[in-house]
Amino acid sequence: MAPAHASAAAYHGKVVDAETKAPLDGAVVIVIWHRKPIITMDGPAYFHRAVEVLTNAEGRFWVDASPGIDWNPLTYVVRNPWIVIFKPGYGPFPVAHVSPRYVIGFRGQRYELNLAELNRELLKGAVVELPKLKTTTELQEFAFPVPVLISTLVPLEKVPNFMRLLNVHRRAAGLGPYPASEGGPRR
Amino acid sequence: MRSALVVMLTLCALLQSLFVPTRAEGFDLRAHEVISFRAVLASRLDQVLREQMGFLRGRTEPVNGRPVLTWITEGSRLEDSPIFRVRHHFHNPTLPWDQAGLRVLGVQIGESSVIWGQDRGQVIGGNHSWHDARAAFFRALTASTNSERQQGFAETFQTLGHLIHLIQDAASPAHTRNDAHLSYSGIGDPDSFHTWAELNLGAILSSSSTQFDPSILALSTNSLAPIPIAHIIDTERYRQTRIPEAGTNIGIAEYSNANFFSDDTIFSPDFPFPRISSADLITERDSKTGELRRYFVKTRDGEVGYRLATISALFKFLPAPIPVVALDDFVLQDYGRLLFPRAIGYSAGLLDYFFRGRIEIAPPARFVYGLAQFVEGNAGAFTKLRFKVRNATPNEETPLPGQLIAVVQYRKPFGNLFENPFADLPAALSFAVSLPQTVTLTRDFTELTFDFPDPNAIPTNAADVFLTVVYRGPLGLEADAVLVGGKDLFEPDPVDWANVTDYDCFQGTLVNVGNSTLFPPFVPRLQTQRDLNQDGFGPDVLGPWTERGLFLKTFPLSQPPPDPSLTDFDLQLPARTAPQYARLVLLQDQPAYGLALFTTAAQEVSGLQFFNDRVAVRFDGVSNRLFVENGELIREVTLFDLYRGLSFTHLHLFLSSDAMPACLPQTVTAPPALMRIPGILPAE
Repeated sequence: MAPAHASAAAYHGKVVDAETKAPLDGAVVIVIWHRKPIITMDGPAYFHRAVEVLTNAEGRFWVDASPGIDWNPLTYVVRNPWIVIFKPGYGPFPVAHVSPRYVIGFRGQRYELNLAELNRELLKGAVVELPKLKTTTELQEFAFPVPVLISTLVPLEKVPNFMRLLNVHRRAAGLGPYPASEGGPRR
Repeated sequence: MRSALVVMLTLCALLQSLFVPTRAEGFDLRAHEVISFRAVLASRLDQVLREQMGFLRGRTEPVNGRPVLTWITEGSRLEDSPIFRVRHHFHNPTLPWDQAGLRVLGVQIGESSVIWGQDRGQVIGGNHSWHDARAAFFRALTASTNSERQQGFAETFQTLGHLIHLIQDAASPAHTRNDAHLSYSGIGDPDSFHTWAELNLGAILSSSSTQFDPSILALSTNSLAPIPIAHIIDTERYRQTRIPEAGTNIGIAEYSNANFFSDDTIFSPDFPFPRISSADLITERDSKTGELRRYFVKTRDGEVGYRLATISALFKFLPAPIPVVALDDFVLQDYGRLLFPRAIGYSAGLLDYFFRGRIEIAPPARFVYGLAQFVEGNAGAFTKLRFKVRNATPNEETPLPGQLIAVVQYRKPFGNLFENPFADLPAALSFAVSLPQTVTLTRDFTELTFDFPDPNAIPTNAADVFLTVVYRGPLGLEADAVLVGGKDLFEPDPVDWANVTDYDCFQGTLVNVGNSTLFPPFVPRLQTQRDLNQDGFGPDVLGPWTERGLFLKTFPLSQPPPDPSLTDFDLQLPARTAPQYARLVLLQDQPAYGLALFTTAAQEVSGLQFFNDRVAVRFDGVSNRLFVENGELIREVTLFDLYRGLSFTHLHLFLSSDAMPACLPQTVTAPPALMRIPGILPAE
């Protein structure tokens, strides 16, 4: 499944319905890298690169973990990318997925994985279970890029599959299409 | 040690290399976006935008192509850009405001965030102070072109995002305990709470919201930052009392400084609290690894019931100054549980404060907001609007002298809506802006007239009409506030009033009594054409009638019909005969209203007369507007019909006789077409 020329590291796995465990094809997996100044305190960030793939009929995906070269000597690419998995009508990864969500700690206590730990799970290959959203309120909760963790830093034209699926989701949530032009004062 | 680290990192900035290792584990900017997103949802912004400003989609309304909430969340991210702005994001509430900014090696290198948020001279990275938000808001509301309005609103909402960023930073102990967290390529001194927040964004998304006590906005002001929003960050009470508190009537910086640590200020002597005596030492087993961990749990002095810091297992063996206490993930989780709700709620509170000003609009004493003559092709315009306004801002009682401007937003159709109400409408809005006037707004209604001279007149051919009133002036403790009020008016309403007495009806047969050759005036035994059944009694048909001294007056259905007269009318006709009609175009705000009609005298062609005739009718308001339902744009249109060449939506007919209604349907296309005569509008 992986291209022969790719690096060894890749984010890969399978996306399934959390209840039925049926594979979810056509879910978009987005990996976004950003850059920061080499000297920083909070500080600005810059979009570096986004890669989108769609899960196949078996729900599988594969994305090269290499961020590409940053030619700017004054910035560095933040190693851990933002990874989002989105399927209309479902709770998205990494904010509403069911699994991989927790590790079992001492005496069976559940310890929630943070975003860096979730990325490491995807490097090993993970089954990502997404819950079907049942009510209009639940659908509307994830009808915008920000709560799905797509930052305003990301030019929306760089994630066309996500935007297309977001608008499918928004229609189901009783909302109009998400306006996504690039006007206005930005820097 | 920390100071030396800062110096080292600063020197490293001069020794840049092309091949920098990418070792950062941190995520940071999305936390601000997610907090801001939650704050927008927790605020009243959506309701204000819909009800007072005519935004069809509220907080998701596209402004310059992007939703309002995207501008705000993006602004909250951009406040950290460029990096030089970040030095102004610190505020130590134990110091006077002019000394409370970031200090490095004892030297203050940044302005307190409280002052920064009201600094008109921000320059680097753009001007995004409260004053800039107010100015952009006023520009947007009173813009006469759609592009100016869109640009103004985009700047307003993005600047509000910049402002709530400062509140969110003040929820981070590093920003209120003077803990600079410089890093080089992610290595160095990154702040662990920042890092934890970015790695656990779900905790923010699922967090509750805790609003501040609104009484903090009524505290006496500090001349360094006189806008009351300063107290959202610092009420100055902690600096005076040195007593840590946990209530919502303190600033967020006072809460985070007095109750929490940052990485490099754990039990620091630079800050009075938290102190060792504020916490009890307990032992817990790490739920992930099973190891025993010791924690300082806060049990007194302000907020209680959470892990304050963890302690190294080598605590008793390591000599000072090697750090032996730290903030681990469980501590930061407890910090987040307490700080995120305030970051969200206090940010929402700032948004609500910005939009707190409310003007209530009500119809004038005469009922209609505007009256206009109809001009052929529907090319007329309203040049004056009259209505009542009052200050309806909660908790702001003081009369307000300031500038008032009325703005009518509408859509200019591609066609005459009085002929074709389904003519296409553009996506872009048009705006008519009145001349400003100086007014003192009080709690009581004041009736005002607003002038809309050309080219700012409101066309009678307009759809989707929404009236906004904008005030600029003092409001409470804010010297230069902007208040807005909105009213969704019904669309320009053509009221038609016709004399159709050139036809009458006899036993179901339509008779053209206007034809004086066929039906001359009835004279017994001499001119008996009007004795249609030739029974010797006539006339069997009446008309035409000539009327004199006609007055029309609109009124709300909640009141009895008035008596239209020379001193109380909306339309006056000196005289009218068949087949003439008059048209008045009006603007009003009710789904239905009344029309009172008075005729001083009327005489039929054969000599019959009547005097002082009064009648009252009910008309429905005219709609031609867009609204959003389930995400779809819906158009609501009042239908027009055709009568004797006149396209009308409501038409009052003066008929020849009581028999005429039976034949009325036969006259829909009867010649000749109705002829319009001008009426007289009252002087304004």
